[in-house]
This record gives sequence, structure tokens and C-alpha cells, in this order.
Amino acid sequence: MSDPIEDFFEGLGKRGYEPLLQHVIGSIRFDLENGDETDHWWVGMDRGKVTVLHEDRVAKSISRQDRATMVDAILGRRNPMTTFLRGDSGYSGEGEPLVIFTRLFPDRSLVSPTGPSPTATAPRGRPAGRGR
Amino acid sequence: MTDGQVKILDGNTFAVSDKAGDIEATATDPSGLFALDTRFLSTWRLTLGGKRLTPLSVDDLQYFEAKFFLVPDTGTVYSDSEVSVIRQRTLNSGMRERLTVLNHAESDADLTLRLDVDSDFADLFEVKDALEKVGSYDRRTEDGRLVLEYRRDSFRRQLVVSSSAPAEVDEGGLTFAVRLPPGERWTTVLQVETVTPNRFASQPLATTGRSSHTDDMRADLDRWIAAAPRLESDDQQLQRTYTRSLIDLAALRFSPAIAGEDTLPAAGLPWFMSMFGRDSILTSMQALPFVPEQAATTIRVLAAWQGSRSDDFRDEDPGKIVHELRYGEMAAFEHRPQSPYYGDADGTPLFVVLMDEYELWSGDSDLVREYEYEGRAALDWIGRYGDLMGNGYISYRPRREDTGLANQCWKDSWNSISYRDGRLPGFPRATCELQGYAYDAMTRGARLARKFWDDEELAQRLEREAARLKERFNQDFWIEDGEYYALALDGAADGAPVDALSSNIGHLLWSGIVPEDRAEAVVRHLMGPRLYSGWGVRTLATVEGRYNPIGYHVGTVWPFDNSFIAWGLRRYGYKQEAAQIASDMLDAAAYFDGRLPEAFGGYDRTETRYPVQYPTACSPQAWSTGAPLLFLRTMLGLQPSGEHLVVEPALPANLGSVTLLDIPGRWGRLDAFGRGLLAVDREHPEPAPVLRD
Repeated sequence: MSDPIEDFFEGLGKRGYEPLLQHVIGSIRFDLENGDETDHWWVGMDRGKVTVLHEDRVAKSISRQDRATMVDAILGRRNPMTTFLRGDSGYSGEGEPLVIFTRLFPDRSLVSPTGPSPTATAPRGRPAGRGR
Repeated sequence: MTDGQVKILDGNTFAVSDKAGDIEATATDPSGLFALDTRFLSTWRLTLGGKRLTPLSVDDLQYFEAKFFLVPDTGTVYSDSEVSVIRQRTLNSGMRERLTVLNHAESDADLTLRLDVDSDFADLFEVKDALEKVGSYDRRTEDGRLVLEYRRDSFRRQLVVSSSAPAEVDEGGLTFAVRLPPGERWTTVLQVETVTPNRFASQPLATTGRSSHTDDMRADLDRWIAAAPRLESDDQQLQRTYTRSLIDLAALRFSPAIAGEDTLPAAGLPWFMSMFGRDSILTSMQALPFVPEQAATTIRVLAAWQGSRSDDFRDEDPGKIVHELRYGEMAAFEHRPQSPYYGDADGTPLFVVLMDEYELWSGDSDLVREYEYEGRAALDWIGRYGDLMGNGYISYRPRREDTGLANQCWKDSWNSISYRDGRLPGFPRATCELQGYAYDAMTRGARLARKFWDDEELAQRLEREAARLKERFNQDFWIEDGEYYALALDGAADGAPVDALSSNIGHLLWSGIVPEDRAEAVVRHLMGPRLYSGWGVRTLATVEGRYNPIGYHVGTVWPFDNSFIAWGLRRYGYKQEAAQIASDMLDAAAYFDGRLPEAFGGYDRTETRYPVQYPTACSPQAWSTGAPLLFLRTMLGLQPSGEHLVVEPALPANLGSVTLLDIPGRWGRLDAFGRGLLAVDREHPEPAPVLRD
């Protein structure tokens, strides 16, 4: 069975160019914890040109989370921002490249046509926004 | 301090207390210390010998700093207090409070000071809507510090309180036993830290982007004001309002991680100290002649968050500009979609409008070249995803009825869009101002494509589409017998015009979608008694079914709304009317110490004699803070033309002379001078002198 994390990073590396990353000059290391082990993926970005390495390297931004959390993000099952707000992922270094990088995660409506993750419960109160 | 509360703020951290400096929040009361959309302090109450203190005075020294002078209640005015207490409070990525006690007596004083501390860790939305918590609380003392914590799964928010002077710390607060000789003083510095523990060692996602040292913050504010144009005017109130606006804009600066050191305007205190696409765009636009760098940051940050996928929960589509980002528990657990949420239909065309307007002023062509991809994606969104009815108009409908926003225009409350008889239309809804914004975006997008993106084909296509939109809009939205534009088209009724008369028609002038021969009718409505209150244009005309002078979007007067309407009036040559609105709004500002609130009541000026603030209005609020700046631009007739700045003043006579020195732009720095010559109607009662409470 193929590994979604490998598929995602290797696919990105093969594309070599990604317009959504064109404003970024930087590097991100994803530290993915799995029990006692930590797997590392390194992504270098230079105005849209992307280099991916499956190794532990120095990076300007570091994103750390459980491997399972990353799989959920890559498959569009969890939103990277809510993962962060809930304390299921963290970062150090520059934030900007990380925010932009999350735009590469897939179309959630295709993965989960009913909307948000199954953990979400029906809201109470009024609809979102400023109306009152 | 207009409502007896003292508010200080810095970026998205703010503290709201009573005049003694105490915080005693209830479930629905928005007082407390807030950071990242969470209330970290809900109780912060000081007592001396078990008794509350009485405020003598409050100095709000800076927007991030306040000083409270307190005495024990002696029970009689004939007895002077022998002890006084000073609380000096500063926001510095948390809160710091210097507590000083002075003994004025001739003998030693044995004092017991007690500070009660509690936190409900409420999400701002819970405060707004009175919701209950799901997680669990913990409180403990740890190395002489008080630690309060809220946990829900891996979500943790923590408050840590420490004191520089020895204190007896228990789980409910801190107690100080002080023996003070005559004439002496005792001081402690209390530090309140707002912590978001994360086992993955996280950095915060939003800061003010500024130093946490008070002295640096003061210097930063001085620099900010010094960099803005200097205003000289015979009118003291105008001076005061202008300075107030600059300071409040400084206070509302906010830096999501994405922006590095740069800042953009957060929307407003207390509910909206966060990133809002529309608010940041419109405020940056209002402030362009004064602080142009905020527009550049706004473009850069909104580009980074631009939609890249279709997500029903978040109303996201590729190319769409973000509506709102939140950091609290409700967003984290997806009870609310603001992580971020994309449910507005105007931010995307307005993003293109801002890009063009920014280049016109600044000459920063590098930026519009660099963001070509995002500009094109936004233009593409208008026709591809914005047109839900397939009729060439931008329209909206929340894809999730339970959590989405019903009205995805600036009037985003549930009842804002209605027929004359009060009926609410179905979905999708195509409000009129959205079509104006789309027209403007296409027209300006054509200029960007031709001049900077080297794409003549796109430029011509956008021009054709803009012309077609204008023509069809003027057929489909025009209400012949009333001679005005419908508020919206009802997608559930075969595109029937939603026929209420509203302030939205004023935005159409700003966008330029109104043919010259119809402008006069529109102006007649805007300045007529059904829409015009004497302070400004009401959001909804008095004759409409849902009109309510204190209805959030159905009768109140919004300073920001009026600032764009006045700009539109100038665009069509209605100088007198633009000056009238500006003059009335500046009169209104006098009642609020130069700080225009989010909205005030739509009551007739002759009826109430003073502007009635909307009950839960935000203040300061970014685009109300920007309104006086745009009024100044409009009255001075400032307009970039090629490499030059055109100045065509049309000022109300009562302002006398108005000079704006060192206006930054592609010309370097230039001055503008105008003398008030237009007689405006000030038959309304004169504003009373301002009384600070």
C-alpha cells in the first residue's frame, strides 16, 4: 500500500515548480513523530522552484506534529490551521512559508463533501460572522 | 471611556475594565483581558482591607497603557483619605500592572491588599453569544506564581500571574501584607502572561509585530505619527479627530505571523481584533494618502491566504480573498468556520481595486507585478465562482446553512437584505454594491493587465465584460418608478429586484457603474429625508419595512459607509453634497472625542440633537477610524494623476483653512491647501462641548 506522505512529498518534488509558492524563498522541515521515531522531510522553496529531500536538514521553518496528523492534513481530512490552534501541531522559525505551504493541501470538498472533520459538532448560537 | 469602561489595546490583545481598573466579567459582558480571541482574565479585583477602592481619575496615557488613581472609600467627603493607590497598566504581549500604595498619614499603616484573580477562558464568540464551556479547568500555585489553566483534548490555554514583591499566593489570587511608614510608598509589579502551551513547542500565530517594551512602544507611536502627513487647520475639532484617527490606526495594527514585522489593520475592539479581509482592504484604502505602507502589507497578507481549494465549511474557493481568521476554541474545534473563513463576496473584487489604487498612489509597480498571479486569480473568481446564478452577477449563498454567513456583503447581519415590505429574499442574493465592485475591479484589472502584466488580450476582455456588466446592471437593478437601484436581485425569485432603498446605492457612485444621467436621481435619494439623517446616510431608508433606527444594518448610520459614499459623490462632481456629509460626520465625531464609533442611531438629527451610539458598537473600529482620513482626502479633492497629485479642494466654510503637509506618494512628498468656501447646512443644533467622563 502506498504511503500518503511519501506520495505527497515525492509528487511535489517531481513537479519541481509550484506557482502557489512563488513568493516564498525559504525552507521548511516537517518533523513527523511516530512513537519514538521522527521522520523528516525537507522542502526548499525559491520563488516557485521546489526541492524536496527526505532528510533531517537545517531549515528556516520547522513544523512538528504526529505522523497521523500530517496524513490527515495531506488527505484533506483535517485543516492545518485548526490542527495548529488545537495544539496538535506546532512550529518554530518563520511562519509565513508554512501558511503559504498549507495552500497545497487538497480540495476538502472532494474528500469530505459534507464539510468539516467528523469531530465537529453542531454549533450553538447564531451563524458565523458579525451579524447580531 | 464613553461608557464608563477603560479600554486599552495592542494588536489583538486588549483589556477592558471599570474605572477602578477592576475586571468583573459576566458570561456575556465583554470585559476582561483578551488575547488570541480568548478571555484570559475574567476577574481582576483589588481590595484594601477587604474593601473596594474608589476611582479618583483615570489617565489613558497611550492606547496600550492606562493609569488609575484610587482611594479607599472614607464614607464621607469631609475626611481625606490617608492612603492612595495607583495602578499603572500596560499591555506587553500580556499585561503588566505596577501597583503603588502611598501612605499620607503621620503614622505607620498596616495594610492588607488583595487581588482576586480568575479566568473563564471564554472564546470571544462565547462571550458574544453566551455559550457554555466543554473542557476542564485547573488552578494551582507554582513557585510563588498563580497558574490557571483550561484544557480540552490537546487544546490548552494558560494564565500565569507573578509579583515582584513577596505575596501570599493562593488558588484564588494574591495577598500582600504591607507595613508602610509615614510618607513612604510600596510598589509591586504584577505580570500576567497569556500562554498557549503546545507539546510541539509552538510560536504564537499573531503578534502586534512591535516591541514588548513600553519605551519602544512610545517611540514607535511617535514615529508612526511623525511619518504621517501633518494637518494644519483653523478647526480644532478637525485637528483632534485627525490625531485621534492616527493613534487609533496605530493601536489597531496587527501582525499575523505571515506579515513578519509589517502590520495591517485589525477590524475593531472588542469583537473584531482579528484579520478581516474586507475591513483591512477598505481601511487601507481610506488611509492610503496617509499611511500607504498598510495597503502593501494588506495585499501581501491577503495574497498569502487567498483561497486555493473548494471547502464548503469555510465557503472557500480558488482565488477568493479571506474573510476572517480566528484563533479561539470555537475556530479550533470547528464549531465556527473562521480557520480561516472565506464567506464574503466583496473582498475579492475589492482586493483588485486596492491593488490598482495602491499603485496609482505609490507608483510601486513591483508589487502589482509580483502579485499578478493573485490578481488574476481574484479576477477569475468573479466570473467563475462568484456568479452563482450564471447571469453575470456576483451573488452569494452560504454553503453550510448552520455555520455559514447568510449575508456575505458588508451588511452581514441576517436581516440586512430585504424587500420594501420587509420580506427576506431567497438565495442566491446579488446585492447591488457587489456589482459595482466587480465593475470597478474589471476596469482597474484591465489597467493592471495592460500596463504591468503585459496581457492586452485580458485587458480588452475585462473592458468588454465591464461594459456589458454596466449595461445589464442598469437594466436589471434600476427601479423605474422610484428612480434608484434595487438593493439586490433575488435568486430564488427568478432574479426579481429586492426593492428596498438603501445606502448601498452610494457605493455604486464610488465604483463608477452609474451612468451620468442617473447620478442625480441617486444623489437626490442619498441626501433626501428618507436616507439622510442629518448626521449621515442611513443604511436603510425610513420608509422601508425593516427600518429601525438602532437596527445594526437596517437604519443606523455607519461612518465608514458614508466616507465611501462621499468619495463617490465627488467622483460624480457632487462637491457640495460630499462636503455636507463630511461636515456632519465631523460634527458627530466631536461627541465621541474625535473617535467615530462603528455605527450610530439613524434618528433624525433634529430629534435627538446628538448622535446616539449603537448599543454594542465596536470602538475604536478600523474603518470608522479611517473614515475621517477619507473625508479629508475627499474634501481636499486629492487624486493621483500620472506622476502628479491633483488637489481640488471643496471644503465646508466652517472648517476655515485646511493644510495637509507632506502627503506621501509617487511624487515624493507634497502639500495640499484648501479654504472652506462651501456653505453647508448646519441648521441642525450645534454640538455640545465635549465632556470627557
